[in-house]
Amino acid sequence: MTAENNSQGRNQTLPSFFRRIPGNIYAIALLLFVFRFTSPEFLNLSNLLNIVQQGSILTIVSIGSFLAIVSHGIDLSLGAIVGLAGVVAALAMNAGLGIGPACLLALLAGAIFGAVNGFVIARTYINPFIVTLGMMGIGEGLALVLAKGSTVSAGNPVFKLLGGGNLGLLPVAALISICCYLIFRFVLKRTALGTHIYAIGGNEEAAILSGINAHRIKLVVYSFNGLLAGLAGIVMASRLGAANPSQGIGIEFDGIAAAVVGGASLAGGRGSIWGTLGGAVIIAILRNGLNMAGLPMALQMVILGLIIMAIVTIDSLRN
Amino acid sequence: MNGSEVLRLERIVKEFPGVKALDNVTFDLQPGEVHVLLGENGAGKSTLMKVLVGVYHPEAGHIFLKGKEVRMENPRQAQERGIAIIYQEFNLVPSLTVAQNIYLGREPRTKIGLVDQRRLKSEARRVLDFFKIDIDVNAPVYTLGVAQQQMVEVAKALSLEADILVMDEPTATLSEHEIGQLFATIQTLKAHGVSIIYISHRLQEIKIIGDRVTVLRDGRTVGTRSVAETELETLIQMMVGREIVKKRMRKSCTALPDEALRVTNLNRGEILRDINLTVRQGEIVGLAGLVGSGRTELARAIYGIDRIDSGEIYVMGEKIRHPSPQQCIRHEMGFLPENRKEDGLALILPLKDNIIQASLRKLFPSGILNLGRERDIANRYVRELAMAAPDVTRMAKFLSGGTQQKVVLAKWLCTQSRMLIFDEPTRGIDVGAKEEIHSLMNNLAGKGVGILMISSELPEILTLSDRIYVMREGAIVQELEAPATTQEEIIGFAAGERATA
Amino acid sequence: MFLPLVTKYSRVIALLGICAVIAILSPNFLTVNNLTNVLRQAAFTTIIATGMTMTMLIAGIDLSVGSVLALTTCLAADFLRPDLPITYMFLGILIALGVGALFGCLNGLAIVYLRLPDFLVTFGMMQVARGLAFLYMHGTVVNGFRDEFTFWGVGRILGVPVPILVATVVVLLTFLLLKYTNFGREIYGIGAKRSVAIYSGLSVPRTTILVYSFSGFIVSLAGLLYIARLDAAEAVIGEQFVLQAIAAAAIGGISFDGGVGSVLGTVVGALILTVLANGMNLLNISSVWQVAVTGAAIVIAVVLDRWLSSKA
Repeated sequence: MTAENNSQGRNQTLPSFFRRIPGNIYAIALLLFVFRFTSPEFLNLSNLLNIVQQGSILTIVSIGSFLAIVSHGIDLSLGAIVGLAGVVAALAMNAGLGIGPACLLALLAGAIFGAVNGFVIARTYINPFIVTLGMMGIGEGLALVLAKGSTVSAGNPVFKLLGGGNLGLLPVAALISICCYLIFRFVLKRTALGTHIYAIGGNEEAAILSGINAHRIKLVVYSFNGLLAGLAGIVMASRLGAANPSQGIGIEFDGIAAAVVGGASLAGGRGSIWGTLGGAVIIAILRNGLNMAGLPMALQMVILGLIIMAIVTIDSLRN
Repeated sequence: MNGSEVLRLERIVKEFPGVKALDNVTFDLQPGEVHVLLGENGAGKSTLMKVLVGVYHPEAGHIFLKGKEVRMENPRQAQERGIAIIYQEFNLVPSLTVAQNIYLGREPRTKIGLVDQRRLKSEARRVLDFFKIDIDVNAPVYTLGVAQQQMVEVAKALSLEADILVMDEPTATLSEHEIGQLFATIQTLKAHGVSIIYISHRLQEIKIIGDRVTVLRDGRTVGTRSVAETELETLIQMMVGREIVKKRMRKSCTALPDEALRVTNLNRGEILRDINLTVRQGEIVGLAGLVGSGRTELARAIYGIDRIDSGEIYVMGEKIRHPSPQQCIRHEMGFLPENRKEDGLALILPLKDNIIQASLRKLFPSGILNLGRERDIANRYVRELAMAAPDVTRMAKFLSGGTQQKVVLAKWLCTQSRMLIFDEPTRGIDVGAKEEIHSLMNNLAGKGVGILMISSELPEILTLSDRIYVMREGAIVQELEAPATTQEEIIGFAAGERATA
Repeated sequence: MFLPLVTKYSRVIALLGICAVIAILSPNFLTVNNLTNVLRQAAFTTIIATGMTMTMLIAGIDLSVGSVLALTTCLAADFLRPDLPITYMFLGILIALGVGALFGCLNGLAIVYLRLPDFLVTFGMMQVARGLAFLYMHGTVVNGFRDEFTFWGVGRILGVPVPILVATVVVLLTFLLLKYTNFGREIYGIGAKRSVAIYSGLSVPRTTILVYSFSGFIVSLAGLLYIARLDAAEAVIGEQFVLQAIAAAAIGGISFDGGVGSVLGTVVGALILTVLANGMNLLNISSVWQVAVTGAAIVIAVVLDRWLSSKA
């Protein structure tokens, strides 16, 4: 598994680039090729744009999954935060707040939620799985309570541009997603924080001995997660024109799969953010392709589950 | 007091409950010298270093840095004062680059607070070049070999502008060629005024790289000599001392003619080379050798933890087809591992659970436990081994080191194995418990149990063994009769000083 | 001082405390009828949580429980119709239990021999099982089972609802297994410190596969009781059980890192969850709060546990 995240030297980047990214690109190309035969409209521009739009939400969430995994943790509460943030944004707008402030509020809610996660995980050293699992329940519940158990409408047409609109040919959602990737790649590569996140995940003891504040790093990582999930929630609510508190359920697992397929190791300290993007794209294509092939939802689930397991197995055998 | 000294430790006393680890130890370091710290296991080398960097605080004594007295509160402070230690276990993050590891936590920043990548790399490059270390600063650490990773650790220490570098067994995991490179680097360091405290067992290396050598024994300074002017034989004598090994615990050999363990032609890559050994029932066989000679690897291979390339293992006369711990236990062989907290006993389980863990099938063949019997068995071992444990339901992590080791021993006694491998049976245990364990082992042999004992403590080997195998670099180089040999002779073979049979 | 005592029985105390609060706030809580309902509801969660307890004890997790429950019950459903001979009913039950154990076994095999992380494997299995259930049922519902079958869900023996009795037996057997057998010790040993267990000659692959198979089996058992109560089987059921089972175990003191905890604690955990849900119903608190309360209970329980044990 490579760590192309950090190398600037051409010699180093090129081989690792070849080894990881094109692996995903081959998979993507293969999938595109296969699905072309299973359904005639698959390679239509409209469908491809559809994939991009639908996949944008997963790609945003996957960044969060990736960050958590690299820090040798995991975040199961992302889906709940997606729902929560969407509801918060919708309610805020319905209460008269402008789109901007409403979205800010939603992002803040997500970040605070994530911060609680980070705080508990950093201080108590309890397994992040169980902490974020509990917080997932709390988040989902909170979203349900705020939304009074039903969907909150978010019909503002300007708002809907975020998730459903296009800038020229490219969906806004995709642009938002790419921006996130660029921002976080910058953080991971160019800031000390980024280096320290990898350090905490790769060898926490060594990191602490070097004076890195593990508590602070974990707090920051999970807060970022909350922020990203919040953003994804806003985009999702925008796309649907309504905020469903349960809209994000399950996406955290897709996010984890995306990160792992993208090369991140669950043991922490390794992985590439672009690889995660590749993984998320693969999953998005899989979902869309299986759908377009007219397979029953159920069979889609089975195949998806098997394929993801297969990819992860191949990956782990390669190491 | 010499005015140009870089460091002076004067009459350091360090005590732990029941044992005086350092007894008025004095040590000084000149600028640009390689000062070797030599001594047996338990002589006090690592304790002294821990005092130096502030992990331990001495009960008495003074530390002078460049003539000024200082107190060492903690390792960070020591680091700030220019003292760096390179441990055997590297503190590197595998997926980060060399440059990033060197400056971990201290990354150079640009004006706006981002990591200055260019400066990071150029500074790292500068440090490496300065000390003639040839490694690509952009390489992720996991792509480097062990020797190169060690170089990264050295560079890291140097980037902290340490003028005192402590190296703890630096060559333990290096090949001949890599050792040569390390020594070249050390020469460069010296030329730049870095002073090095070099902890090692390896006598030949000391001759090559050392300027002066201080020998510690039982927490005391035996003496400081110039390496060039001293014979290795003298050093060995200083290490082991004139005192006669206190009377052998093993008065008479109780070995039976039957074999408990036989290993033939065992090979595992470069790590174990054509090993042949036997242990008779009722015999205690010591396995001596320097750090890195392959003793633990041999034990693990025999016990089936590591896969071997070729060779046969016979326990109680029966060949073990697919060695595994399960198989070995079934053939009545047990293994007390070196690292008791990691492999010996489960800290979060109660004492009694640990004791019966390897004997479940034997004690309760029906698969159903009898808790009363479990308690009785546990209590019996607590009594027999004189464990300081009031309650057998107490979690193992609350017990002392000596008691924990007794629990491990009890576990294997419970299996009623007739062949036992002990890997460093008394490491980290106070003197009193040590004697008890020796006595127990002696009794076991008296009852016909075969024992293979790995130990780095030569007195222990000499006091308990009937025969001794000496290992060096993965092979058995000599077999000795314990009553007839001396510590000097053993070390001689272990270090390669003596021609082997 | 008496802190160790509090720590040991902290969960029971918490349960009683919650009961007391609810009883004060709602007079309907302490009726025989209501308490019976609570116990019966807790029975299903408890049985599944028992399986989860075993997987958590070896430092694993089984996310596929809800889906396997759905799949196995759907497979059995057609055999339970009243117009078929009674032997078919037994066959159906056997199929359900067998397939459940099979899926559990597959989980275990993948974890041991493919060296995949447990939650990834069981998550994949969760998708696969749920998908297969949907495929098999084509969106239909099968209802109307034999009386001999539904008896197990709705009937009573000596006035006690059958599910409660079954749950009690399951818990008892598991308790005995964990406490009084070699196998139980192997589970705790492997969960406590794997490397030590290996040196002690314990077989990690064998135990892992058995534990996951058991989890699958027990989940199917719970599923059969569940559809017996519902008198219907469809592919969507059982989703809520994963979170509840993990919550029950976590609240009950089963450590996520393995080797620590008693199945009796899990029972208390399941009771706490069910009582909380019941209390919220009685107090007319909307069910939307339930998920939040479950999540909060998990977090509070594990944090409190960590805090208390650091004081001990």
